[in-house]
Amino acid sequence: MPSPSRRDFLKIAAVTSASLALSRYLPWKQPSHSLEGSSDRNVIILVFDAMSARHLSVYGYPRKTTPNFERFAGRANVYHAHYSPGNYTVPGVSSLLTGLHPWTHRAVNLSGLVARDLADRNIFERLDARYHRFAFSQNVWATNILTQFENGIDEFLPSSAFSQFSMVASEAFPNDPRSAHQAYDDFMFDFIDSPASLGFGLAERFYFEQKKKRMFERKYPRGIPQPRNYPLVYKLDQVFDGIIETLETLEQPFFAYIHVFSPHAPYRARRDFVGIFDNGWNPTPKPEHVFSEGETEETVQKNRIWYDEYIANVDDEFGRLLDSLEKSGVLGKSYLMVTSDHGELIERGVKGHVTPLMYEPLVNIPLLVSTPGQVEGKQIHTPTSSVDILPTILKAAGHEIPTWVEGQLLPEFGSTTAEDRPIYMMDAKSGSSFGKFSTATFAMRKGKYKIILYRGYKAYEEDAFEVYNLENDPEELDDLVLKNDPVVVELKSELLKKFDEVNKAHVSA
Amino acid sequence: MKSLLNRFPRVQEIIPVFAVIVFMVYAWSIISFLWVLPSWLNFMTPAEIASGFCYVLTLCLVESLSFLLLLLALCFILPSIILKNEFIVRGSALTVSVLGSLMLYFRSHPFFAQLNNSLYSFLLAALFVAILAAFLSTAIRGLRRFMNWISDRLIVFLYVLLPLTLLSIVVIVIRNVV
Repeated sequence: MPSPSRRDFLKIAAVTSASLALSRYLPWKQPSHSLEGSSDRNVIILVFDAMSARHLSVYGYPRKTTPNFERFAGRANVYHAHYSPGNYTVPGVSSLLTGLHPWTHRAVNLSGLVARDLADRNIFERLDARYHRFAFSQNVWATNILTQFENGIDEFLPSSAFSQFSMVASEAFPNDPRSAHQAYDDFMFDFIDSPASLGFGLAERFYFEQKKKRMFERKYPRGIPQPRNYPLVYKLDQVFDGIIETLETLEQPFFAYIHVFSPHAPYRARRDFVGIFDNGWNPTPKPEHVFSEGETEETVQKNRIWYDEYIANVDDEFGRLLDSLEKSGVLGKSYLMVTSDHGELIERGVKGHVTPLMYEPLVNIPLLVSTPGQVEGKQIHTPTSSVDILPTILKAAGHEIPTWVEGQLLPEFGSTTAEDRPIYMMDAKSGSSFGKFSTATFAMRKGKYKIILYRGYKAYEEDAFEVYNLENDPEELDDLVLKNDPVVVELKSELLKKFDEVNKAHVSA
Repeated sequence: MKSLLNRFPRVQEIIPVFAVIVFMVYAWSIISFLWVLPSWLNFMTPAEIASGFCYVLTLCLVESLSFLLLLLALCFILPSIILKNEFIVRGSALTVSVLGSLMLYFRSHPFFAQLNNSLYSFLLAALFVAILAAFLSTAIRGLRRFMNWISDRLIVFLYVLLPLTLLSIVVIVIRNVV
């Protein structure tokens, strides 16, 4: 073979350079650097509020609460040790949407928001405009957080969309939702604390309660579902009808964040789910904690059944959604992530999640992810966190992952995560959002162990710790601190080191 | 028409009572606002906080006007001798006792998540106290003098709060329409 002449070399160099320069304008697609070979897939995040993984039969719960989740698990990656970084909505949603831990984004107080200087670090603004970015949350606190990201949202439905009846005042001011929400929904018409409006605050409450009474239906013997802290009532089937219709009509490719309030308390299952778990099975009894709320065992068991029934109701609606997505072909073209913002604790004299506790039912949340065309399920036991969702979606969409992201790719999505990667959770709702956390619960899951630190609470004179081996003791009954287990010293040291590292007053980025 | 208008108090009588209403309604909301301000400063811009305050003031005005309308409706319905003829004194006494009772209830029940029987009982008691206060205010000379004096003194707040509220309404219109 003759060696190429200088002229040949110049020809080849010129053609190669021109090809490279023009390649982006050529009609065929470049090989995508996304996970599954295409960056034009839809992404759907479906969040069920206050859904604890510990109450789902797909994760082994004895009551058959989630047959449709199990069906979905047959074609999805099921994450068994997935954690919310917080034990209620504000930190949970903020971490999911920003990829940041609560100590960074600072949405740690009830009805709090992401620190102003970090509000542009969110999934909506990181996805390019090729995606139609859609957001809907029935949880008004989550909607309030979403308003911080509205620059990146193309279509944003109010919390009352698909509802029966709503008196959420800020929705009358769609061009100025955040100020109106703070002033009206969380202040003048506050449903939890005393309203700052003397007459109207009380009048609104009376009117809402009267209207609700007139709406009582046999179909919902415990009342029509509603968020506890806002004047809004909805029927779950109608909400899912709305979601199904919306997903079928969204311009593709889309990114959809959908946050359903159920199965959050009050637990109001439809009539056909009431009584389905009255079969005598009872969970392992657990001792009361120093932070117990004094709920009797009878109340706890009753509420546990009601919660499980409500989950079964939600699962039934999820099954309808799944069928519809399959039928319309959307599922085959989408990443579908099903998760929660936090869990629920109905044991140890507690019911709910407004507590400093950090037990598994409060923070171990479901995560099931199906990729386009996936036909087989996978069970993943590596601990993961909600902060991992943002980088995973960005990678799936073929985007660069920003350096500020604190999460990692989920296993099965290109992660090289070690089994003993520490996963952190915290609660600091009773202190300052932006100062040092003086009263807080800080927890770490590492490998099979979990350590919890309670700092600054009046109930303890000094830092208090609990350590559990979740492999041998998944119900967290055998505190290794009390046994002077040698592993405790090492875990304590690591947790305190991390807490000292992150426990600083917020400094604007 | 004139006989219908005669059933209402004169404007000079309405203004002092309105001043009492405005003072109480705005005071409760503004004090509550100052209570939450430190936390708002942490996650809202000064502009957002200022606009939030505009929403608060606007609702306070609507609430004050509503309460005044309620009193005027009572004047219209009831015989003149009960409220209209002593509008400044009895209107002020009713305002102070009704709104004061609500303040008291909200202060003692900071978490009123559910309407319950204690609230209904309290409201009944508050209504009884308000009616009693309205009649005592004209029966006791000192109380009558005090009601006249305080309602007159509080008019100064109208000069401050009403222009501020009108400005707030302009701000809200601009933020929502423009």
